[in-house]
Amino acid sequence: MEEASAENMPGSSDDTYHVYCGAETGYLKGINIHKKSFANLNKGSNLDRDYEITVMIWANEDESQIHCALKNQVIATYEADTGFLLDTRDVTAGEGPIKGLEILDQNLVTCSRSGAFRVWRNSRPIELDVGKDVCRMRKSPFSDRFATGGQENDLKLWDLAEPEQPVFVAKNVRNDKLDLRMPVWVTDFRFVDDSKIIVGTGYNKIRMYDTKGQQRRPVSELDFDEYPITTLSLVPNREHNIVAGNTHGRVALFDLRMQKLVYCFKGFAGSVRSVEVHPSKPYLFSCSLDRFVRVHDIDRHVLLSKIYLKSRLSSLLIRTSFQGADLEIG
Amino acid sequence: MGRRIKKKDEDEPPKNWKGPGPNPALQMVKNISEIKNKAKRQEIYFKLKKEKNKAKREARLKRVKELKALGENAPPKQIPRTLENTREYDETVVEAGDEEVELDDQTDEFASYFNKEYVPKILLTTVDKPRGKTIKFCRELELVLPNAEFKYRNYAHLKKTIPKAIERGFTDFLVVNEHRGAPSGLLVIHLPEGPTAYYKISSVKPMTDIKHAAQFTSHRPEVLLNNFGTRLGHSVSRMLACLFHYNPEFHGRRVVTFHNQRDFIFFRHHRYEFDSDGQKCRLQEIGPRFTLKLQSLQKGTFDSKYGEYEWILKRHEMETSRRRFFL
Repeated sequence: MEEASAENMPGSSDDTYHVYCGAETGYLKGINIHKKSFANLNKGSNLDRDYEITVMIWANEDESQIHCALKNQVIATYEADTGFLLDTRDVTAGEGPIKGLEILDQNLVTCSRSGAFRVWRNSRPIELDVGKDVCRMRKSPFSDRFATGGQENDLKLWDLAEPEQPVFVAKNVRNDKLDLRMPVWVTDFRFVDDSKIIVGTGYNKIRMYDTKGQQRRPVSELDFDEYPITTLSLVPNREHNIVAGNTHGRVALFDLRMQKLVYCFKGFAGSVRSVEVHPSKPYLFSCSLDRFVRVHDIDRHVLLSKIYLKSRLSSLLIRTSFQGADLEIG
Repeated sequence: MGRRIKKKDEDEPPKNWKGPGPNPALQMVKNISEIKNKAKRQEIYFKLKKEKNKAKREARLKRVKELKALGENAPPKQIPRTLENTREYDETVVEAGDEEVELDDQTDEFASYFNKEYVPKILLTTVDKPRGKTIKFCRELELVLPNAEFKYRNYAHLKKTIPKAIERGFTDFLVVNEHRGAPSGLLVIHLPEGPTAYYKISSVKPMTDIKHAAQFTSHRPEVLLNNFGTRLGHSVSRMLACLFHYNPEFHGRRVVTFHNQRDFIFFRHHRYEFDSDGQKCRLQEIGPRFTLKLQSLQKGTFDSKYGEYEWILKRHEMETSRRRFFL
């Protein structure tokens, strides 16, 4: 503890929040992992299920402001340390909750459940229809491309320079042995590198697509349990590892090269809504419907900490400057 | 090899000991399991047991006497340690006046029931081919739950039935599962938006098997929900409360109890009666009796494959201690 506070870095002192969680009731929660405590940052406001936080991202580089996408298609911007509401912006487009929120050249990019994709800028706003029942929209960290996917809406990659047609559309896998069509349900995906995308589906498959290759079908496929995969995350600094969570509260580490499950993390009681791995430390953060945030050690496979947050949780955001130097099993 | 005839040993202690102190015969062997003769061993064992019980009884009587003598100065009665009162610490226990839980309650799926916006209407069905005991159980459940309707399943799909049930104004949907001809599971689906809970049923005792049972009357019962302390228990108790009319007819003196003890939810159904001076209350059971154990709580209406679970019992992973309870 002393060492961490002596450094006096943002995110390493005891008083700041290391992880942020959005709840179904609309609360934005700041969590201090060291103290095992949390605070409701937007406590004073009138909350409702319509204010459920569906996606959270950092609004700026130094991680002092958070954009929260609410279920009723509003983006609320909070100051990360104090929970002060800086701005609210109505981003009504299409129907359903916002399934993806990104920033492109300091402009907000949103995508709603019904497939209304918008770049919110004054000059040349872009409006796209990416297909119905979108479950996720993410921006590639390597380029300015966006990917979307959902129920009966296979993975599409969009380049905003030429928004008429998607750059890449995934092709459904071949029919099964009874020659029946395989249903499509993309629930989450991540960009592995410039061209590779790893996709988790509602039909318990983890698939890898290579958008630069000739083949539009997945280049590899893995099974995970029998229940829908809800969330997926890459393990930084380890190219071949990914973490996936499902609706029965199973979170597992996979090795893509070995094509197999490495370890299944213990301690979950409900559906996992979001998993994130710390960019430099071996910490796996997860939030689930059982109202807990858990921190696992991804190397040693042990549960380091779990914090009860009183509400069902829907989204998670970690502070990359959080070092967690002395996080011990507890 | 002839049988060795043992001479009567002079050192052998007498069997019928009347002298002061314990019988030396019993003092000879420290561990009676070392005695190889079964009859002998048994004899000594029963003797020991008798003495022990006697000593215990005497000690108790003495203690009672002392307590009586002390009168008001007597030390407080000791509370026995049980699994329940030594349960593992649970951080999710709901404290009264918790703002966040209250907000959750005001906005969750049961909020409209607790605001008295609708009267519960229950659809009750079983597996496809129910056997006698299951049908009997359902008929009794239909009696106990006000405004419940029992229908034969008739090979209907649950997922297809749910939207139709919502259309017809049902607010809860119960499905009784059966194993070996007896009810084994209860699925409770709150309509129209869920959640769905699955319970294991055990120890079913129908009304007819309850001795000196009281006559059933169709008054709306009072509902007691005991011991649902944790956040999960809170949700479960709200869900169970939703099965009954919010306005009980106190005139009928019917009371339905869901008593949680070590995660087992005991269902009991009584008629109560106060004494003429209103000091004591007598209970007479109406029945039926059964025990529920929560297996899973799922968000949304029934979808065991693609639904999201809020809580699911993972037996070997979660049941790490006998003192760990979830409700």
